[in-house]
Amino acid sequence: MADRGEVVSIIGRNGSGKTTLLLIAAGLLEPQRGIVLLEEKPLKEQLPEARRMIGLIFQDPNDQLFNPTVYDEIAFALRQLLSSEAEVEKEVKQIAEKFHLGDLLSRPPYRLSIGEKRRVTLASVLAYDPDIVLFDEPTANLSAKSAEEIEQIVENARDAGKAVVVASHDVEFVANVSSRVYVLNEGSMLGGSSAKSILSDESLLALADMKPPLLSQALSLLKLRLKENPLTIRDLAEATSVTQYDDQ
Amino acid sequence: MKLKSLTERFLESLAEAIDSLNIGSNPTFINPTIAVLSVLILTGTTAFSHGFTIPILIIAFSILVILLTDSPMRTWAKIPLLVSVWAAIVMVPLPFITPGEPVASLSLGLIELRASGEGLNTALTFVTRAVAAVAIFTSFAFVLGWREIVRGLQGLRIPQELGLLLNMAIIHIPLFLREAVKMLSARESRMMRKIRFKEVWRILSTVVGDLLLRSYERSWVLEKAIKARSFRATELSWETPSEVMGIKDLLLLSFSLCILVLGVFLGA
Repeated sequence: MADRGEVVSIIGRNGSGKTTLLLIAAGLLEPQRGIVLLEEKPLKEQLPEARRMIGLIFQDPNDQLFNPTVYDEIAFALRQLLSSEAEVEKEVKQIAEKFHLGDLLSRPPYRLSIGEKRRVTLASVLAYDPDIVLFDEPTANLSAKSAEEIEQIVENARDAGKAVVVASHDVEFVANVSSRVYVLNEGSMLGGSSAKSILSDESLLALADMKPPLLSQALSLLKLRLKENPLTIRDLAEATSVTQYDDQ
Repeated sequence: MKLKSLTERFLESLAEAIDSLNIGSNPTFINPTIAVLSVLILTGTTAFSHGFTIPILIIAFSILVILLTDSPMRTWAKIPLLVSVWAAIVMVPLPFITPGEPVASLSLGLIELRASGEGLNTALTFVTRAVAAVAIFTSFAFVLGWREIVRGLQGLRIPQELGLLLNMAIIHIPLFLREAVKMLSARESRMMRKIRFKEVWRILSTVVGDLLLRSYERSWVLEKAIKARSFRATELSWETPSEVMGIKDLLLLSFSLCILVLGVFLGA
């Protein structure tokens, strides 16, 4: 479903099965039908070692944080992979700096703000450098600034050659990061194609309880039609710069 | 924020108290494993001691620990004081039921109660033993906090599952108490008239049901979260980092062992 260096999004209304799909993909639930393949071999046969390759970031950070301190939270997976506590400490400090958690290492995670908790969950998963990263509603309940940070993290993971799967309701976020989008409804896949074609299909989006990105809505209200059908400001900037170039 | 009902205030305060006890006043004061081992030795010694020497020594040591760590003495002292009152109430019959030389009598109309010297001695020993056991445990719990106490227990190689459960309890009890407060507020916000005492219990019972369901749901997801980051067949991987023993740790351990030896010697 997802290749290395690619972000694939799953959209769908509440209860459509997005979280269940991610839990199945992470090998935490067994599918009723079919099998999950990881590098062309059944995932079930490769567990629990294969979990090293898969990182799952839960929708609610409170569900994911179970260690007494931020340090222990990040170190949880590393302690299984590294041989000495000194190595673990070095890695934890590095990843904490990357996620701006350096001052919070001795704090209990459940006493942090929602944005900080989200950063701890990301650090605790990305610390062991999984090849596949699954994000469940990564921007839920976050401020615009925190959501932007998450977007950057998703893009960095993609650029680092990881396969990224995002289940989200946030159409702007999906438009910004995804190359492919799948629509899920009551456990069935309704369609899957490039982000541009899915996010422009109003009838398909309606089934997922979603509307096209604001930019598409604005262009449609203004009765403007651009060649590339931009979904994001970045797309629009690219499309308009091409037009200006043509004019010259 | 001013909370409405007494129940809500009680639950919020309880969560606050558990939270503040999680982190001690001076968590790095001493190696938690040595501290827990010493507390176990001292509590055991006082529980099986005869006479007043050992319990008084332990009470004095607890006060010293609180003073040395700049912990809030008045807050801490309330607990041993409360326990002393409670133990005194419990031991009231002891002087009257223990056989021995009568030293005082209490006339209650037709009944005359005689207190024996041996009984009074046993009662006082009982109170000092209870206070000493509580004083030593709470002083270290105050200084280190629950988190370090659990770490100390893990250092003593308690089963990993037990360590995980204790850590989970520390994290989730305050979370669920706060969840209960939110649920109560949501229910009370829809009550259009003054709530009578009987109704408070009815509302509380509906909160308990919801809370049980939520805790089940949370534990299900938590199990998945732990599994998701466990790469070994034994799924649980909670390792306690080894810690170096300092001079303070050695002194504490030596003191505890001396008290143990003294206890055995005095007991014999």
